[in-house]
Amino acid sequence: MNDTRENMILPGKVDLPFSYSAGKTASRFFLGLRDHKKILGKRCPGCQKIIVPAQLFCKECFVETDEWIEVGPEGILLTFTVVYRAGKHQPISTPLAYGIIRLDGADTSIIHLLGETDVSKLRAGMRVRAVFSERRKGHILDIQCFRPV
Amino acid sequence: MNRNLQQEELLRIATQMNLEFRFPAGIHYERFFRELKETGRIMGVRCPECKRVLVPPRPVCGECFVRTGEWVEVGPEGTVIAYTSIYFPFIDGSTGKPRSIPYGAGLIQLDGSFSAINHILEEGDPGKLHIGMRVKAVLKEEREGNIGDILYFKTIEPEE
Amino acid sequence: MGKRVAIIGTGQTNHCSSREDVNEMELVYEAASAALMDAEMTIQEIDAVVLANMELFEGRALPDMWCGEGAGAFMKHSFKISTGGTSGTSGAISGYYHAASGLFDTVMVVGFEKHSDGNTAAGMALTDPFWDRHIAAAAIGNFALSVSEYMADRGVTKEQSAKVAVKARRNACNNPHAHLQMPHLTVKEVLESPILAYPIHRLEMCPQSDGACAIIFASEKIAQKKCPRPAWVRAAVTRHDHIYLGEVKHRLATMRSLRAAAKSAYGIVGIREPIKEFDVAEIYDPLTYAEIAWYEALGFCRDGEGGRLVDDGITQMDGELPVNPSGGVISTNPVGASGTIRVAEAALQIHGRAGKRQIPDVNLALATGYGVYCWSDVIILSSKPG
Repeated sequence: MNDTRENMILPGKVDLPFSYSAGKTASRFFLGLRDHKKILGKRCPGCQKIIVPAQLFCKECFVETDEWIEVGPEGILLTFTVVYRAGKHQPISTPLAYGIIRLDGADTSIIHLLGETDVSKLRAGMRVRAVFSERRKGHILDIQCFRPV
Repeated sequence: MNRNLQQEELLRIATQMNLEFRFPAGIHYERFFRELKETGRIMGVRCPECKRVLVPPRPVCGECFVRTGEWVEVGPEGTVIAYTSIYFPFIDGSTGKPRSIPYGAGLIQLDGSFSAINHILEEGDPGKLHIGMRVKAVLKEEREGNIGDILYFKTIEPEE
Repeated sequence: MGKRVAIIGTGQTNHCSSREDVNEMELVYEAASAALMDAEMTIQEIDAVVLANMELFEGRALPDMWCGEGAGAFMKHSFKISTGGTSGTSGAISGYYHAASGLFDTVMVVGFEKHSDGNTAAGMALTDPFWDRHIAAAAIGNFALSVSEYMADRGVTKEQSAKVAVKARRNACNNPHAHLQMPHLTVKEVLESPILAYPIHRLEMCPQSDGACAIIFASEKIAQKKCPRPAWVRAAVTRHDHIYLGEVKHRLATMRSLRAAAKSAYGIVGIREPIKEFDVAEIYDPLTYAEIAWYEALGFCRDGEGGRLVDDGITQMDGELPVNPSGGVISTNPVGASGTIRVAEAALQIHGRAGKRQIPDVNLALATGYGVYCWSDVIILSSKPG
């Protein structure tokens, strides 16, 4: 075999639509964002944790959650990172800052984008606040980002 | 909170998955694709143990579990051993769009080969297809080195 | 042989074309909760969880991670099984192995699929890039190739095929979980339904469903304590043939993987005349012609007589060997769960908890799995531990 010959590479492409049902619980969570600019969690009757985003059942106790509780819109930025090199499929351009946020009143945290700030000012432990998009459609990005308070 | 279940809106999150891949053919399959591209010949490989000629040209004979050896030209004519005509507009994953329907597809045992290949038949009317009919590979003018270099198999009239 | 293991509980969702009210993890949670209730157990009593799903169809990587918590997999030993159409039965077999090894006393298996979230084009778009993708006709197209071959090999008629569809969808009416329940379906209607891929009519083909099914396997000690009539696993065999269609000629007529798996499983249990010895069979029938081919491959009749079995009503609810009282895959098909449902339905028959679809006096039940294109699972359940 000729080692200096270029190897043959077959290009492949997939372009397919998917549509994931959110379910009743997540739908209510997203509608809370869209219609009321509210962030909702649910309480687990077992461990008493307020789970955010709202879930049908507590994954640790394996029982259905009951009470709906509003949380945030502020909270603590537990940790964050800044991405300088994005993959082709990422929705936002770089530098992209995102972190894990524990909203006031919640016992679990969410992963979300950080914005409206210079990335150099971000600090773990700082307080942040949800910024809602002008145009909301019932999607996690109805919260555009979190910005430092 | 007011829970009026009948009026709850149930949401779906819609996404379009657009992904690109690259598949190195490997030295073995490359020989098949290069031959097809450069000379238009369809090649199979012979298993040294069972002596069967395999197309696609497997590097290892699945049944004997030994490396295949000799490369042998097969076709371009062959026999249809199974056929169908597709009426439903399934989405072609590589384009995100359906093919134009109906279209024929079949398992074609190329002359000289033991196994058959899965490919498009030019004839889309099932009334004009039957098991045992003879077909011939029609190649693209400008070939790229993939199975699509064979555009389809066209029916050849039986010789009198 | 491994340790004695029995199925002591099952749970299923009500399968349908689209569950808008739950996401995939919640679908799993529903089935898992139902199985726990059936077995009168808590999640804490489950030692291991096996998840079965064909993730390509939903475009969701790591479904075990993203949906497994619905099966209570949190901080448990948990595995995903993904073997195409056989995922559900492979999952059940894996669950059985876990318990039969003696290392786990209780194992919950959940097969699941949410077809409405995705599309089968996804699964077929990602077949072999060199040799198979260019046809782009989903599973049906490639199946249709095998059907035209099979009809020529065996002389099976369209009417016989349509009768299988009628049996399936009418049986489904006795099953509250079944997707397509058609009490008045006729042969004529089946043959007048649109052709998807020649010669397969739409009503001869299985649907795509949203659904999940959970099974709880238990070691002998626990099974004896918790279940009045456990369904003991007597054999669990899987065999794989080539996947590329051109390399398996006369695929349906020979169905080598199913014949080999059945031979091995029957040998383990000592079955010589399956049609007489089994009381019920839940076989994985993705379309009508396949069911007829499976009759032959499973030794219910001689080769060439599959059609006659249909005409003579041997596999009807009141026949010598009822096949698919649940309605089968032809009536209900959440792919990752379809195989698990076969095992669950066979177990329910032995448990005596199959409701309106119960066959009287079931002691020996057969469940099979099938995967595109040439994979077969055979599981034999019995009221006796053996």
